[in-house]
Amino acid sequence: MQTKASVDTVYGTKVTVVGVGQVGITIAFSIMTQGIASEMTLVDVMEDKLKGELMDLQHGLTFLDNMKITAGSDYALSAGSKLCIVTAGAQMREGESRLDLDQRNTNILKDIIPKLVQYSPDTILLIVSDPVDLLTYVAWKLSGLPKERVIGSGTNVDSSRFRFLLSERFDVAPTSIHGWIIGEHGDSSVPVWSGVDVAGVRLRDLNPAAGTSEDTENWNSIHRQVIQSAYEIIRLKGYPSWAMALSVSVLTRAILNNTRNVYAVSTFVKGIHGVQCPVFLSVPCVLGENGITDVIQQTLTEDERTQFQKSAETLNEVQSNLVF
Amino acid sequence: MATSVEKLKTEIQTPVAHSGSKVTIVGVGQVGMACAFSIMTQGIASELTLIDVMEDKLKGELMDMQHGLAFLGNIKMTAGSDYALSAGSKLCIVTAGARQREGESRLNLVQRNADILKGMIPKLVQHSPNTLLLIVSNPVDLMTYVAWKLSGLPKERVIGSGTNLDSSRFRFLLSERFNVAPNSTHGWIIGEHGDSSVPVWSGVNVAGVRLRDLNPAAGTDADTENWGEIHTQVVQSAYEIIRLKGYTSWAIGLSVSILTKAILKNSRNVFAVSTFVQGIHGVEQPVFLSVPCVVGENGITDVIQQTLTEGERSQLQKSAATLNEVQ
Repeated sequence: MQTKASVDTVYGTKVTVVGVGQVGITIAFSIMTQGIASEMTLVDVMEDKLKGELMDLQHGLTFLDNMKITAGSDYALSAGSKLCIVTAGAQMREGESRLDLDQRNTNILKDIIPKLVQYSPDTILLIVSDPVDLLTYVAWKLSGLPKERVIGSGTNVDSSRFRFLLSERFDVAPTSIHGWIIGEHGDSSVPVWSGVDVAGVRLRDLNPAAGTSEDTENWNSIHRQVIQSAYEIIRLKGYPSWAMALSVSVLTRAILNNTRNVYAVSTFVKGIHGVQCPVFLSVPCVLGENGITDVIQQTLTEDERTQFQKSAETLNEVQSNLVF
Repeated sequence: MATSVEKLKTEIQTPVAHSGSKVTIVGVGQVGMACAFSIMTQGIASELTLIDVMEDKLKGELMDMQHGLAFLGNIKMTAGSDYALSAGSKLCIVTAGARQREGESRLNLVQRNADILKGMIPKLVQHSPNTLLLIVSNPVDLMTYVAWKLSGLPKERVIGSGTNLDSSRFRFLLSERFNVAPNSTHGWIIGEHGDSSVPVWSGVNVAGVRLRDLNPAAGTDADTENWGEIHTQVVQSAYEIIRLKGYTSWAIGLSVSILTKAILKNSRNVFAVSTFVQGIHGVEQPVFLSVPCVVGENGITDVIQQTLTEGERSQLQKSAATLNEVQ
């Protein structure tokens, strides 16, 4: 075989996934099967698990477009990443609220974030570890990166759950139902009922009380189901993985391909919807190769604004108690 | 008073209850779910049903999968323990069964899994008389034979996932040495999906250039480049991955999804899958082993007749004899 040119490349799209628990490895598989990146590195502390997962993923490559996959505990492997996805962290226990995980996961990030930035100074960070809004703030502080380049997976998955549940009532495909959940990825997330529509026809025009306590059709039970989803899935199967993986892989694709799609992701929201604290919450953002370029200004009701601001205050309170 | 939904939509005909390409997966362990997720994310089927005995796990997995649908093409998903849910399937994938334990050889799983199939196969065929069966449970060649016997279906419609996965591992490992993409490296492993699988070294090639033309001893004991070590690695792979991460899932999930796509789309691609091989390569027993098959909507339509060396033929025949004994 004749060698024509060196195979070393500085081009291509490299992604690092930190943490090969159920969420991390499913994200990796999702990225691989959808041909989203040309190179992927898995980093974790469990060497055996890393090696086993790497082999298992590689053995499927024959059925897909080729990509280079490496794995190890040395962060040097992550060098040159366009995007680093952080899933490492303690898993939510049954009955535990997301905010209870905070200090445990802050400490874990202290070890991870500076190393990622050291090896890939131009990277974007996508934080998935829960509680995601809090940890995106922590990651931002630890990284020294501009805020546009530190993104939390946020309510992208809440919105996808919302749209699926709405689609069951409307009996049309989930991708044909539009609806946004913003704010905290958690118990106090905010469903923007005014924006729910099919083919531009707003639910609120058909039922002005939709989503309120006066609503005879009880659309709000859907939002409650969204909040309960993660707890329910943990109770039934032990952990959520599939939806979260798909959520993160579409964000990955938007970033790597500079698609400028709009997704509900966790970003710095001081100054948005009357928030005065320096916190990260989800709002619809335009995503591209350099991170978040725009925030979509939704018109919220007074209630929605208040809820949003309350989440911000709660987060700020917790943040001020964290030890960095 | 009309509901919001009634005000939104004006129905002009009743939607179909069951769409064209429906797949049922029996067993929602790691393998079954990897198959399900692979099928879902690649838009291969329009309807997917998950069957198992563990109601909670089924419900949780179904919810988790459905919650990702906003990011994909829509697919109708159901799950439960009642086989009636599987009605109308074009393809039923059976992954249920005891998992291979660390150090356990596939043949040791036999009796445990044969009993499980007895409770499963007749029900699947009852609810979908025109279905194809794709057996994944190990030891797959034996299980495919058992499933065929229990199903009453013609043999062309009962397929084992076989050495499709072994071949994919083979091609990946070869690709590392050649430093080209795995799907540009061609090579087939046939026979038993297990310790006595047969690598067809004469067929290994890149762009039609055969490895054996570059190195006539490739894969033999006289080979100074030790290509044969790659086959050893393939055989060890499953044991190794089980040791390292507890089970294998991703590669088998992809392997099954690619077979599913070929069947549902009648693509007539060639894959190494486990089929009835009595009369092939001198095999005299009524057993299932993997050979390259043309796969389509009605199952296996053709078997590719490879030219095997004497050594490869006898290895295949030996596997057949061992299987027949167990059967």
